[in-house]
Amino acid sequence: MVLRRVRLVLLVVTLVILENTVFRHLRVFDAIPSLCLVATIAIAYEEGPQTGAIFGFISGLATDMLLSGTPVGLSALAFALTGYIMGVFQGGLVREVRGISPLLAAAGGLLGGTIFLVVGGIVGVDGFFTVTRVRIVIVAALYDALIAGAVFRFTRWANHDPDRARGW
Amino acid sequence: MVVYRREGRHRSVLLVIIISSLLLVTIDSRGNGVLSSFRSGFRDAIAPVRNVVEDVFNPVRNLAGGITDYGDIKDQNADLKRRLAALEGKLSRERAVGSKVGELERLLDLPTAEDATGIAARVVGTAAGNFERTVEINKGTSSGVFVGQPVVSGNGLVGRVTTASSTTATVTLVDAAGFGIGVRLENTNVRGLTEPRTGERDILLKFLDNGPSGNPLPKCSEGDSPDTCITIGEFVFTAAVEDAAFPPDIAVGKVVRFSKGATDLEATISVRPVVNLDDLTYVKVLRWPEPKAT
Repeated sequence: MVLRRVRLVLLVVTLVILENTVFRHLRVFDAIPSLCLVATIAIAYEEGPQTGAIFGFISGLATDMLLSGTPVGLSALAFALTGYIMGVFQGGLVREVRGISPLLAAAGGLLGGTIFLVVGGIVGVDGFFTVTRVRIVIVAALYDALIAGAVFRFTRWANHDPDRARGW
Repeated sequence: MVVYRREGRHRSVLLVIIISSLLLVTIDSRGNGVLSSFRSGFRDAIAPVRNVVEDVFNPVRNLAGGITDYGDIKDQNADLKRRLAALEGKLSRERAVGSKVGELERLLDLPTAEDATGIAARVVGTAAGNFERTVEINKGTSSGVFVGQPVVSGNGLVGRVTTASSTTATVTLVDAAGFGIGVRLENTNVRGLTEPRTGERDILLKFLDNGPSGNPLPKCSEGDSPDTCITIGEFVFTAAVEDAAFPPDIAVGKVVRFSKGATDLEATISVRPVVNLDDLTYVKVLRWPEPKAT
């Protein structure tokens, strides 16, 4: 149990660093994927809405720590809500669907990006409601779909604990 | 395998998370020192690991860039050689004029970019998100880097330090939305203000003054004196203003577009930063204003 939590914390730190170093050079139409958001979606898919929301809040906070133009808590809120909603969606699935991770990542990326923009705009962050930003959210969501397979696998490995019931 | 998954929807947990997030957003928006320190601490903590990853990834990036951009690099090299030769000629012609300007500046006791000493820093990353135009540098308050200091590279203005922790600092780039700089045009000295737009690399230029004739400056046509109009390719420099955030005469960009429709009240002028802000490796943080000896 403790080992799993340590692995999950390490997962968040690793993904934040990767996003901040390697992926900054791999921009596609100005967008980079949100690795922590994809990991949140993976956790929500495995564990359900509550754990998805908690993991989203923590990984969003870690992402917020490296941003400077937006207030702390904005990504945390966007990721937590995305984790919760994706968890609820997963609860409605009657069977496990193979190869669903890119679809979930794209949908979650769109949802998370939209929440981030809307809440950011409401709290008064500069220039949040622009066509360019909407375009970036769409491209980032597609990018999320592209890397979803690898992030889902990595997240499953970090989250794996055979002696544990589901939940945080 | 059919898996039925049921989980109680713990809405209370979600509610606590939403309230906590909104509380954090509100507190941070009002400028809370504790959250800023926490942010700085987190950055300092992961900085060594981030630097290692960046160092490991750099050769791979350079190799990939070298292969994919070989043709572009070759053309760029030839173009740079041509421009260097032209600039050397221009420099020798302007040296005489430059010495006179320097004399006048000394007489008027105007501070210049050369007065400001600087701290060399390496760009170690960009912001993690998709919606910021910032870079991270590997020098922080322990090296004398503080919030508000201007940042330049060899050929022009890069931006300004907006957050600084002990070992790293964040530089907001000149093309970030909401980043206005007082500038002047190279030929006419007419002053203006830059107005970057989200997601656009070119920066809009708004004029504060009219041209020498008292009217807004028109675009130069063939045969026009460059002192009375705007030329495409003309440089835009930081303006000399009292208590300015930037030293005067640092190149900000070049005019790349001038358009004015028949019904437009004012022209739309776009300036392209002289520095390639997407490919920064080393920068210099200027100690500006330079602390005065007591």
